[in-house]
Amino acid sequence: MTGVLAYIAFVMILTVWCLGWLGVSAFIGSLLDVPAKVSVASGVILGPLGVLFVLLSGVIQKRQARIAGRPAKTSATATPFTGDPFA
Amino acid sequence: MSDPFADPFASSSATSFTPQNVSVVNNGIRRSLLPVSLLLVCFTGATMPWVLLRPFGDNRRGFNVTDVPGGMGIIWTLVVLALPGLILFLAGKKSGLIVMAIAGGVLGWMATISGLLLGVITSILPSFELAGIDMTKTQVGQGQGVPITVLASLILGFIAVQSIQRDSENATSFRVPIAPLLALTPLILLAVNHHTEWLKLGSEETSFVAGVPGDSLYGSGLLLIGAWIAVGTWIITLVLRQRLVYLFAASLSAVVGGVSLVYSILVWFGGKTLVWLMPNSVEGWSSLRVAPGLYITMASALLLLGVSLATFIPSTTDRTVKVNTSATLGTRTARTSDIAGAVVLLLILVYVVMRNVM
Repeated sequence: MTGVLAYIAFVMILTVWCLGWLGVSAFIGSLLDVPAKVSVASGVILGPLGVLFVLLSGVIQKRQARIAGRPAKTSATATPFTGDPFA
Repeated sequence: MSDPFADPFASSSATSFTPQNVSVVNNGIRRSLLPVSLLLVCFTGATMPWVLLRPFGDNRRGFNVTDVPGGMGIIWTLVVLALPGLILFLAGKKSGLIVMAIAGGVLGWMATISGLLLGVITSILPSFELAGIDMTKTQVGQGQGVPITVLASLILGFIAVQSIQRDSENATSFRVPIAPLLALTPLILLAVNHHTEWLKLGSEETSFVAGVPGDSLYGSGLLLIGAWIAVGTWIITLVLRQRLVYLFAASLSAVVGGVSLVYSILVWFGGKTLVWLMPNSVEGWSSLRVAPGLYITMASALLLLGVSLATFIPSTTDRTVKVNTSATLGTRTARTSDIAGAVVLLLILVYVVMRNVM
């Protein structure tokens, strides 16, 4: 029984760890326009180092875009919805 | 109808922001031996000691994740997770590498968390001081399995993240900056040597022998976390070769190197003073000697400090070394990553044979 409980505890801790860093990494990545795939994978696999990687990547990308005089690349293109949702 | 087996990570539209990008549009990934051998290193590292008990008398005992209730279950769960990843990777899918990296990464983070928990547990234990050294902390330490698992999982993780950003390269060679290579060697030596004995108290002839490792010193936990973050940051510099990342890594490494150097000098000086002050050594039943680990730490810290300070000079980071993507062995040509993977596999094999023989 102890083994089963310890196993469940292990799985829970690791899930919370991976999902937590995924969330932080995805949030920072979305702020800095880092591609979602990169920020999500970095957060899950590399944890806090992934967050650091995403942060540095985003800052460098923004800085390069500013130096080049073009707007920062966005990871997704939003299509404005103009219709009436209750129609 | 869309392909149900399409690789979600294999989109060719992934934006690469590395200036050295020399990519070709390719939906797959090159099969290589290196990620597979790194995954095996992660699993082998999980069977090496993660926690070392060093009771007085020099009888060491090592514990790993398989000794914990539910630990074998976790290992098998990760094997079950890694196997489909391995199959997908061998089929040339990027998602396979990602799954393999997650399995290795979970083991790496388990090792890291175990190290942090160890620090918390030893801080709760009542301290028993001898000549200013907390002897309670000298009895429990981290095993060699932790740095091996963490390092292998980090390298595998960065390979996987890079594969998302960058499609398969068709370049015949690439240039690797020298600064990260020069910094990573002493950093890893520092992190590993932190758990080896720096001083040895007592005599081999008597039953009372106590080794004093670097991790028994105050603030060593923070220093170790800093060292591993610095390792990760230097690996990031291999991916993002930008001045900002170099400066960040160099600043962190300079702090780690400087503090480690001060630690080792103080311990060496303290040890020598203690030997001089100790009248018991005359009888031969008690002695104190400096272990080689302390000298290795001192030299590594000095080298790391030098490399970190040199990195602040802009021309240093421009120096690179050319690495060919393939090498000729006699009449055959093999990819460099495959050769590296084969060497790692050979080392695992030697370790497993040695462990079973001894």
